[in-house]
Amino acid sequence: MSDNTSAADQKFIDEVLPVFISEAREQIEAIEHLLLELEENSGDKELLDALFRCAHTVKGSAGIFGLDKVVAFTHHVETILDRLRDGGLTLTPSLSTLLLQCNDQILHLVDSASNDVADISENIATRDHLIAQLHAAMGDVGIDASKPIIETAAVPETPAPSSQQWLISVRFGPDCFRNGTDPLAALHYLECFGNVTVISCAHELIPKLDLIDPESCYLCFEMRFNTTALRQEIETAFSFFEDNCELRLVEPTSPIEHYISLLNAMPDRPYLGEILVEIGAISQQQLDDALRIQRHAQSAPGTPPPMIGEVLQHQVGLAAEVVAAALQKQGKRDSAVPADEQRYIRVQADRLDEVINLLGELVTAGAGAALMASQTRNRNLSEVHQHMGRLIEGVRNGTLQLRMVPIGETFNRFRRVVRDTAATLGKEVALEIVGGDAEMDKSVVEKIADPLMHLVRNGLNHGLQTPAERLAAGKPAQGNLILSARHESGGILIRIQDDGRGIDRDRVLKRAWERGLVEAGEVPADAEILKLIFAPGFSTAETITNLSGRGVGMDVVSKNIAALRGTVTVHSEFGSGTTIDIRLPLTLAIIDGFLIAVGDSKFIIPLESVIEVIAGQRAQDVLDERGRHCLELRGAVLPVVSLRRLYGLDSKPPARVSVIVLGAGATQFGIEVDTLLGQHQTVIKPLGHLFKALRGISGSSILGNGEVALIFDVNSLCELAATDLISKTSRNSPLASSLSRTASV
Amino acid sequence: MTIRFDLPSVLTIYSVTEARHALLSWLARQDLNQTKSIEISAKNVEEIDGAGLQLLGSLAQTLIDTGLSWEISQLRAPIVEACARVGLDKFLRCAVQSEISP
Repeated sequence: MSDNTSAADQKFIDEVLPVFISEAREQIEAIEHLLLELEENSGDKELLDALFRCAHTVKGSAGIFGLDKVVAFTHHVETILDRLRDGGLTLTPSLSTLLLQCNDQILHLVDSASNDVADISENIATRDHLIAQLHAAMGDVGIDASKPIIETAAVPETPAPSSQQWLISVRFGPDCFRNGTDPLAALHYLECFGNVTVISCAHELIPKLDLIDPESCYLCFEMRFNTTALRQEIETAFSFFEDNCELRLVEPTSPIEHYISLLNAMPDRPYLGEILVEIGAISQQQLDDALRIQRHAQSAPGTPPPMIGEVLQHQVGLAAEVVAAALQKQGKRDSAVPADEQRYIRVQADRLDEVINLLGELVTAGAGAALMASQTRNRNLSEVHQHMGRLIEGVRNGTLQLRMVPIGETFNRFRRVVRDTAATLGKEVALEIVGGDAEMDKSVVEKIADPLMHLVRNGLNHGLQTPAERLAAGKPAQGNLILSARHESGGILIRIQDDGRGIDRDRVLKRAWERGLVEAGEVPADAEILKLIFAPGFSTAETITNLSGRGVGMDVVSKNIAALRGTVTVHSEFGSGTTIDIRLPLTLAIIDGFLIAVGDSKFIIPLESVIEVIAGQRAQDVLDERGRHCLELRGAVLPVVSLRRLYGLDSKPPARVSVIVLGAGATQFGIEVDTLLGQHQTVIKPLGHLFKALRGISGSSILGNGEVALIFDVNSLCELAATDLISKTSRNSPLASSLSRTASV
Repeated sequence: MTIRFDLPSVLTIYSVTEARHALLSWLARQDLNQTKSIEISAKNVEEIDGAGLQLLGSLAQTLIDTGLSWEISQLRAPIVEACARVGLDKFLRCAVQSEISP
């Protein structure tokens, strides 16, 4: 960071720097994504423009914070991107690799923005080397990479022949200084985009000493500014002043044709004003003013509202030709609004978490209030509580929706991993991403990233073969790796699929015998053999690489997924490929549950897993050795598990029971319960240590009357129902004794 | 007679109120009828921001009103650059000249 920052600047920087770092990371991520996309669509003008904009944004924002190293290095990247954009250079695979390496360095510089010490000499040497490579790629010779580049970046550049002279008039508001902003800093930053050739300060507006309030700002400037930058870029220099400054930008030399050519080049947009702001024909302030005038005119009775284009022509003096061209652009727009036009606000994650926690308490308290209301038998009070319950449910759904993010953001990170890993291994791999727009809770997305990374690397290292091996096996040289996500049964299914060599069950079994994971000579069922790859310390890799093969990852992957209340299953056909399915809940906080009772014990089933309920069944006395019996359901046999037997609950079974049919993936099974208590908004509380080992249960919830209900993990319950562990689970189960207790809230 | 005032080392938003008060008090103490010229020395000024520059502009307006000869002298190069950046260098031309003159 520059040394010449004042104490006030430093305070401001300390406050806002984390926001810059967060936003810069997003831009850097976008650069990587765009570069990888361009490898498949080289020469795509829109992608190149977007790429340039991202680098320019990082550089510009870093300039505000005096992050000279980021500005200097990104400047070189930006220069080459500009050459790519104007067709002076072509993006070759080697140049793409170079730019990706540069992007890694930008990320490193941004990450070490708050700690300069973190930038070790090795990185400085790497950047010098990359700068030299960038210049070599542009055909420059004799560039001294060790020379501090900040001079060229920070000093106003010589205006290109196409630069235009703007007239800028800016009047800063009285609270500028008090808000911690300084017009001097804005003018300094403005020089990043061009040259201020003439500037005059309206000193007559500054009161004399006896009248001035020195902490109020009276500064007002008129200047001529030579630049190639667009209006928006110039406006960014004043963005920190927002409503506390009147900014007028006049581009006296801009020809109408210039705007029309910009209009032709830009993608279609829904709003006329937005189009005109984007091409720099008007400022956002001018648009806001015009919209205000339009609204005011609309409110006048008996007069048709003026069109925004007309208002802009009258108020701003915008040429009619430019308005007409923009209208044409607006008319061409498809009915679908592109995703990038959605507007966002940035909210700190911990603030959102706090709201979710409070909401959880509200749901519990609401349930308690509703219960008490029903006990009073006061109809009006009950109705009010029912209405409040519906409102709480609405708030709950809306709030949880705020935490939902598309899984595609995580998937896109793997493009680079697949590209670089495949290159290291000498493999050709095409990565396909399907269903990246499927949304799930942010915390789940963050926690699943590492397990996914491991599985993708594993697939690349062990699953997919080299081109020669593939050709010998009669497959195309290029292997396929498909990452997909889709909603399924109220949860999300993430699938990692490759068409590689598949898992050799014989080798897995042999290794399991060697490691003592399975008794020597014993041959479990196929599905059980595949599950062995998740056993701790298991690896069939003959060689250990830095990618995988140490056998310390898959068990951790399995544990991490289980910690998210998810399951992982493997399907593989030797010689054809492997598919790994990860099923995860959409959210970790609150679910819609179905409350049931067995004896005095209450349980909650995630509502999305409930397929149907068969009421009034006669209780079955004859159970098999697994505590199950069967029902015939529309011609199919349905295994039904007795929860009383499964968990060893001491209570007398009623004469009539209900069977709830549950779905776990493709499998259906039933559970036998005494009483159906209906739908219940369930705030999930983690299980205590005592119950961590309890299979088939994923969490607990406190009911309105203070009772504790355990929440079923349906997938795990399904597994439990299908194995021979029932009697073991029942024995020594702490459940039976603990469930009858009533929790104090 | 020339009267002289030494500006403080820091002229920023954090100190402009105090500096204004000091300047007004100092001016009030002077017998301007006996004064030929006023020198505002900036030799101590090490740090200045927009608020500080604005205070210099306000001071210049006040000094012009006295009808006396005045100058803001011994401005350091970074301060002169800051004046130029905001277009106050001509208004405070005495300062620029005094910096350039040996």
